[in-house]
Amino acid sequence: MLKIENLHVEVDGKPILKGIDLEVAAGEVHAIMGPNGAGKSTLAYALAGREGYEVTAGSATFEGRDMLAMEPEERAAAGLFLGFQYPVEIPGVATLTFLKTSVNALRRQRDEEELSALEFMKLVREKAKDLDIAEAMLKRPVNVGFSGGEKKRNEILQMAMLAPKFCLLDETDSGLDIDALKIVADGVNALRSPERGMLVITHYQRLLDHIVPDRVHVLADGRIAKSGDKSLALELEEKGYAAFGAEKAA
Amino acid sequence: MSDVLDILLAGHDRGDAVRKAAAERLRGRGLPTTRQEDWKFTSLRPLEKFLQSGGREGAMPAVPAPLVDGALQIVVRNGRAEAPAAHVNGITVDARPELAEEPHDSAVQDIVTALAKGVVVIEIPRGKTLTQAIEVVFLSDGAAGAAGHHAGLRVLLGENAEATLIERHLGDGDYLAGHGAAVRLGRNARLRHIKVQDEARGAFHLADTSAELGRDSRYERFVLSLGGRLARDEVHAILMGEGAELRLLGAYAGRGEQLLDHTTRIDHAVPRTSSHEVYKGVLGDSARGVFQGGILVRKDAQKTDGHQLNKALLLGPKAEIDSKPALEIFADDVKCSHGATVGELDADQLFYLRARGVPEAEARALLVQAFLEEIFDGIADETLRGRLLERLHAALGEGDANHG
Repeated sequence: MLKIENLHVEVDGKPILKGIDLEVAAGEVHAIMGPNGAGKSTLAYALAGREGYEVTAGSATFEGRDMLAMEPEERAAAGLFLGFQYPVEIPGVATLTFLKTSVNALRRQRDEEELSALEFMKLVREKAKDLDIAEAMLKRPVNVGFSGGEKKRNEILQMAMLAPKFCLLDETDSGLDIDALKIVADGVNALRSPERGMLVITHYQRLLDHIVPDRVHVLADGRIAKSGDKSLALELEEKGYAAFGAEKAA
Repeated sequence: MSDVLDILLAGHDRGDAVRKAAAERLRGRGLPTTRQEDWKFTSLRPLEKFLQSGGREGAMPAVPAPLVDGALQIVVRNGRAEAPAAHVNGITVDARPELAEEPHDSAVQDIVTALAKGVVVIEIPRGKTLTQAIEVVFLSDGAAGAAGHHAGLRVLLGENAEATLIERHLGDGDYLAGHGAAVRLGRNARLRHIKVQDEARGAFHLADTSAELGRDSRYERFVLSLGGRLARDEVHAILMGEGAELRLLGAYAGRGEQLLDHTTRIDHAVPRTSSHEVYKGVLGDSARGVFQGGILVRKDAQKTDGHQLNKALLLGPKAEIDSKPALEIFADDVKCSHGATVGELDADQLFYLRARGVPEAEARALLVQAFLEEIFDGIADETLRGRLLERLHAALGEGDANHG
């Protein structure tokens, strides 16, 4: 489904990713772990098409299509979803307006009919309820005044609304207390399906207690230093990143 | 310079004493130049060139449907009011030839006074709450020659009176449109005043609104500026009675080579008055914006509460904003603040929207609207707010192909 080969990425002329190879098949959940500064977020942003993340070598294809040639919105339309580590605040745009704009923009790009106001509200109410999100929050401007937990739940709500083929979650656990972590993890688990791939980027093992991965990769100094099954995460927790040739976690 | 004034004033300075006096003052001072503090950022050179060469004629626009359903519409075509004298619903609407002398000093006011064909007078008697909105539609085309068309508007509210006034400016072709509005609020009167400046892209729009606020009165003015190649909207407000409240809101969107100027002067003349002023604009292409916000707090005007904010988004590589707050405070027990910000669209917000599938152009439009909509939140009537937002969205979506 997602195939990354020899991916090199520079930020401000500085090489961050130095040859990543990774393949995630439909139905699989992979985790990428690594110390701060290893390039985890760079990988997420490069895959989502953020400006300033320059791919200098290698390739990334999604269902056989060259992802790197697409605009960010085209990647989203192809089915890629990036859950942000730090979701931005957008004053003046109500969360509901944002969700509706996004859902219908994706539908238009896929030549599907837009949702009516009624269909949309039905969908959003159902998904918000599952994630314990109050309707009042949906009327507020996007992420403005949201707590860390609310922002992350809002990310998962968007993911549930957009039902992407592939979920790329960038440190979704950061800033979450244990209750919020559970709600977010349940939301992610509910989206696991044989058709969907997931790449979960995390610093700590604790998220992987709730979202059990099929494969775990250790990212260190811009390369994948080691791959294994879920027990690798436990090994990391015990020995630390240094044992894998990476700098000590900050 | 003087030949430009000759063109402008030709055949117009033989009127009554008020017109003559204004024309004389204008001849004495000449058209404003950028050497004058108030006109430092807005050059009238394009107007001078236009006066010397004349411009493109256009077709007289049709009278639009009112912005508020059931509004009483008064149409002013090329400066001439078509509203016959009327007494509707207890109010007086009258089109009169005679003008009143304006107490404040303004070149724009002098131009309009010297050249105006007449004035529309609207009087709301004391104690009257008018539920029906009044909409004055100024329509213009290029037919009147370079000197253009000029009109006055006087809105008088008696004690405890309340009304909603909508002013719209539409046109076609190249022309000069001058407008002088005078608003007088009696004790405890309330006026909501909405102005939509939607002139043709080749037009010059020079407008001056003077307001006098009596004790415990409240004046809310909202201006949406979209049209004109050069448009200057001046407000001169004086808070003359204790407890008077002034709210000035402005939103503008410029593109091409438009210059949109908002110049306001608020005079807190007595104690315990308040003013709240917020202008926000977006400027694309090579468009320029000017904001000059003067606040004067007189020596005796203790307990004045005055706040001013101006924010601009620059979307074009050559877009520019000149923002100048000018606070003169002579009283010591006051709360006054001002702020100005200039920025571009936030790259993080833009990426966030695009990562959610929103195409770049749509994402930009959404962020621009979000930026301006704060101003529209100040309009309580939902239907009116919705229609003004529709007009704004359409204007933001228009290309620059018709720029004159």
